[in-house]
Amino acid sequence: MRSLRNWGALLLPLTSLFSLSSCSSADSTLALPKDPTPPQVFKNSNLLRTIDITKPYVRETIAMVIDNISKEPQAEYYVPIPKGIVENISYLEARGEDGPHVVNLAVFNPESETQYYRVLLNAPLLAGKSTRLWITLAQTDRLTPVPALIGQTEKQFLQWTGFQYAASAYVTEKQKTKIKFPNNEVPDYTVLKNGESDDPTKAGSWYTYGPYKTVKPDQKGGKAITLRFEYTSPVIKMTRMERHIEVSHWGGNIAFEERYWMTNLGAKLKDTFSRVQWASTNYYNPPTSAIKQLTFPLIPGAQDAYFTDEIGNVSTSHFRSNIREAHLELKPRYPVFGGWNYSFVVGWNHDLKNFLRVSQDGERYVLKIPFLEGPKDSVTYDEIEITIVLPEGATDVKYSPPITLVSQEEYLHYTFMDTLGRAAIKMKAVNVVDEQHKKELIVTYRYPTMALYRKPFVIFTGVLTLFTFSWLVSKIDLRIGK
Amino acid sequence: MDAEWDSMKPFVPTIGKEGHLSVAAVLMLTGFFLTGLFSINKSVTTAPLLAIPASLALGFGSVYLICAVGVYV
Repeated sequence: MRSLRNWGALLLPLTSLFSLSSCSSADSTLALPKDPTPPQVFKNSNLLRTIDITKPYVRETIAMVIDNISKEPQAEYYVPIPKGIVENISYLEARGEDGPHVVNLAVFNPESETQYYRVLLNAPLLAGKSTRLWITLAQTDRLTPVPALIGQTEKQFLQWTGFQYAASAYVTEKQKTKIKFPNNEVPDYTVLKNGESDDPTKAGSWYTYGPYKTVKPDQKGGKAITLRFEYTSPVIKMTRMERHIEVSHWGGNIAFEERYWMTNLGAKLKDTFSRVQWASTNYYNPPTSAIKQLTFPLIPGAQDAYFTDEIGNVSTSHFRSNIREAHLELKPRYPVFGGWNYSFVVGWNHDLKNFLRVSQDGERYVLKIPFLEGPKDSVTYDEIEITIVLPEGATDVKYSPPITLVSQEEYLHYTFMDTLGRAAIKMKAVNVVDEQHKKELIVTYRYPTMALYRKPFVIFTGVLTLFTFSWLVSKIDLRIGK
Repeated sequence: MDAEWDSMKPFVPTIGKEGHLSVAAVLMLTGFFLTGLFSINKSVTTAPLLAIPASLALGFGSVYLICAVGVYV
């Protein structure tokens, strides 16, 4: 009875504080259990976890068949995440047979070692029924270079530590974990015994742990597994990125500008950098842990691309643009090795007609732009700030960001020929991975024709005032006598 | 919002990017020419007939001129 009451209080994070305090005043012995667990209303009859470590972040996909083993329909499925990892999670998405489900972080006990994400199924699962559920999550900063220091031409290895089982809040009857490596070179991996057979089994760049028989929730992840594998690319991290988008109705133009503060989280150099060795080995174009080049696949039709840094224009860039593609290829001023930093600015223009549509009455506008566009090379972002500057006088601005933000604000942006200031939106997000590049942002606004003519009208008024003034001055009679 | 997008027509500016420079040149030259005429003829009847068109040409001309040089306002 007590545990039931406890659980009810935990289910509603908002009311939990209130009910807890009222409980404690009535019954001082009642306290939160150390590790609250969700009710055992589901069981996972089959589960396949795929861990992709081919990118600088870890992407985990859990495909499972869940059965409702309770007597009532159930709509809340809980996913446990160890407390230390919650901050590394860039996103956690859930999808069912009927499309994406709503996911949010359920706070039961902020002190607990296990935190939970709550998946709200679109339709409650009836008693005794089963359905399929896919959970995808990305974790950043989970790969560390081992050894931490390497020579300039040596291979780079990264290490990942995780668990043999997919942690679940429910009993899992059958499961296995598949791991996708960037290539076949895996010098170290944890070997376990699974019954009679060796664990894992290998097939090319895929390693499989399991299949395992029934695993209870209190077993958590089971034994820890550590994998060390070759990673032939740099571990690119944008510690900060600012994206500035400016819409111009007069110019029929949309301008993009992105500022990057980039670092390489890969293995650091053991010795000092040797330019001679770099130049001589570069001839063969070997895989390297340094960031040598970045390619930005822009939307076809991009124009006037530029690449600058604090010093000025960086001439080692190519902009290949034709009807089918627009690739901006940049080479930083120096190869960016592990622990080195580089900051730069890229920008380009587009014709507005592909991004902006107007209603029949000519006053309502819809702007549809990519939320993020970044390099083709796999990257993660610590913090991003996206600013969208609409024309001066735009009102009723509405937008729906495609990813979770930490803050958003609307403000007035001042630039050339502005009198009132332009309506602008600023959005901030943290811990973003490059998978969000494809997402679209839609902004709608009202822009009356009168607002469009504000700029020429202001200049017209100013010039006309000058004409009037000069005419008045010319009419002053300064002659002496008649 | 996607449905709204599909039902709308693409935005086409009155004068495209390639026309900015020529339109700006014509308007600015007209504006300066009329200003010149105004400076030598300040009778009460002709002054407004020169000043108002000159102001209009300079107003629109400067907006297109700033666009023509790549500062899209």
